Amino acid sequence: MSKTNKKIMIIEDNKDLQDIYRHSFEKYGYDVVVKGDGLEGVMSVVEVMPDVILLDLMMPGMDGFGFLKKIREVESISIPIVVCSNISDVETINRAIKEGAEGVLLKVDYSGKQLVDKVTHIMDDFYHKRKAQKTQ
Amino acid sequence: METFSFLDEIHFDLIGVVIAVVGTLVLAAVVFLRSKNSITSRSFFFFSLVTIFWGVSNYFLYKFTTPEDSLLALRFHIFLTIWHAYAFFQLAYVFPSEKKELPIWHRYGLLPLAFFSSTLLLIPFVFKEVSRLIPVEEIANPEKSQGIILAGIVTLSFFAAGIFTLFRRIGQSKGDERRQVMLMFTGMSLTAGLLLLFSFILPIGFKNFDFIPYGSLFIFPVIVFTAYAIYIVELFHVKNIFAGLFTFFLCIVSLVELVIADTVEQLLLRVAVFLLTIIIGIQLVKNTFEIELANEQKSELMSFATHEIRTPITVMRGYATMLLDGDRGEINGQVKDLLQKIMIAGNDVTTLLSEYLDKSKIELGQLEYAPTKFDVKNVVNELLVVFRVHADQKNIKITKSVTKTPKCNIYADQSRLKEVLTNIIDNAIKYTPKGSISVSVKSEHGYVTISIVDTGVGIDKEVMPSLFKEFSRADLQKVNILGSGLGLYLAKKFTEAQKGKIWAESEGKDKGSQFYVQFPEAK
Repeated sequence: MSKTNKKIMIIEDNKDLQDIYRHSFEKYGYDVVVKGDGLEGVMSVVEVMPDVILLDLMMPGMDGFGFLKKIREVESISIPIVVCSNISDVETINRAIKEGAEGVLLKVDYSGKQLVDKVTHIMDDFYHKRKAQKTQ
Repeated sequence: METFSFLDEIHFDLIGVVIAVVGTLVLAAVVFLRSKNSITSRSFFFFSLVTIFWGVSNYFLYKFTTPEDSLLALRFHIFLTIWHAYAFFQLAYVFPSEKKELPIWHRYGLLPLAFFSSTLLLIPFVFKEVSRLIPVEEIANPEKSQGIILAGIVTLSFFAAGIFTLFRRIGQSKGDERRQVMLMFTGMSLTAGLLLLFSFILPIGFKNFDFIPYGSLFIFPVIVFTAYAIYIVELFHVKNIFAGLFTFFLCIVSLVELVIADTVEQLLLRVAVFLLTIIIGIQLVKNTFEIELANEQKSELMSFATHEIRTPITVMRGYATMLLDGDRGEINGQVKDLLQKIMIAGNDVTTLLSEYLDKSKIELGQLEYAPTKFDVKNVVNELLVVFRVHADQKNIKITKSVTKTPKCNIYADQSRLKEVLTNIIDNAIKYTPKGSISVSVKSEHGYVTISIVDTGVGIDKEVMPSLFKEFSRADLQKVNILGSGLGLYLAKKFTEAQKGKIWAESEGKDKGSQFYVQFPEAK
């Protein structure tokens, strides 16, 4: 996989996973910004303006759903959000999609390059679709 | 002995009303007890209670014989009609959401409007007096004031707004939600049809007032359809339905017994039996709910535990991947081998967890699917990245062949298909001490077929019939396999629930096995 020059915001409360994700995405050329909960993410998203957001769901304070709701209220922010959680029930997945997630991944299924590939694929798909919509 | 008989005149209208009242009460209690915190359940309960009062007042409206009593009954009945319309609109507005806040205009606009206009009906502003009873002491003919226009507008507006809200939601919703709204709409249409025919066309067009007291029975369809619609998503356990229906049936039987009593003694005894049946029935329904609730809590605990265990495994796999990728410096072959074993053990734990969680969901009838259209080739490619590591560990060659068709799209739950294939490929690796495994995807005659062929221990003819049953495993003692014994059972459940087919073939012991998973191709 070629290196990218994209910026990713990772919203994850687990310190170990913050390190692992930061390392994986930096290795493949991403500029990485890590935030510890939804509120921190909301406060800095306009300033950071990432190309993609990797979002955990269960977090203390504002959780992933709270973040999705706040971000989708702002029409000017059009950033693909990939939910990465260890909750696998259909209700949660459907809710995340309904509230604006571009993709939902089961954390335990992805690590290292596989995770980076998947997130990059979802992000590229999002911008490709948006470009196609604009040209129509 | 004094003879007291109802047989000469069976009160069919009373039986009809009581059936509707008991049925509505049972369904309202069933829905409310099951999910007290849901706004839809609460609104349904409110609507049901108003329906019961409305039905009873509708019955008594035509039983009073003096103008004074009739006036009182009429005022109270129309008062309830406004609240009935309001409750219907509120239910239509929140249906089928679990959590939906009523907007400010609802709380501070519609609610006071319903309160104000219904209160006006209790005073002479709407009905001044009942001058006569027509025909022959049956129908009260009241003298109306201008207030009737306001009451009429408010009632019709609430009903029209409710119908419009439901109609609009049919267009906006998808999947389960759309089915729910359609069901409620069907019930409402049936009710509207019955009311129109028996409470409007027959009395006005044909002067037939016989069916008016059955009003609450005509509203019963909307209650039944809505209660059922609420439970499509709740996946209401079948034993609760039986408990509710059984109670309802017993109440009706004892009521009929009561009505056809021949003597006062019989009547008193049957009233006691009827009341006892209602009390025991409610207790029965309550108990089944408590069992259901306990099961649900067990399932929630399982889901929570699964999430909590998956997180440290994700961390473990993440660090192991970093080391395997050489991100912390070069590692020798032996360390690499050990790290791969850690990765595989992590995968085994997550697979076991998922299988036990799925089994528990199947038992509780809570298993759901989220079907989408996707290319099976992508799923197979993703899985093989993981399984190549497993195969390498055992010096087994794993090959892939895919059809030349650009896409092999199917419509299914992608994560469930992953679980099915994970299980079969994982088994193939575990049950193949040496040799090779080949995974292929092909699209032919409108079907996409995934085949996993191995040169492993094979499947005995005696084992084959029970291969897809719970806790069935082929020769596990010989190959020392870790597993829940649920993998193939779940694979079959998942595949067949999504209109797919799964089957296995083997020439016998030590002759390898072939597993096939097939789904209709999605265009």
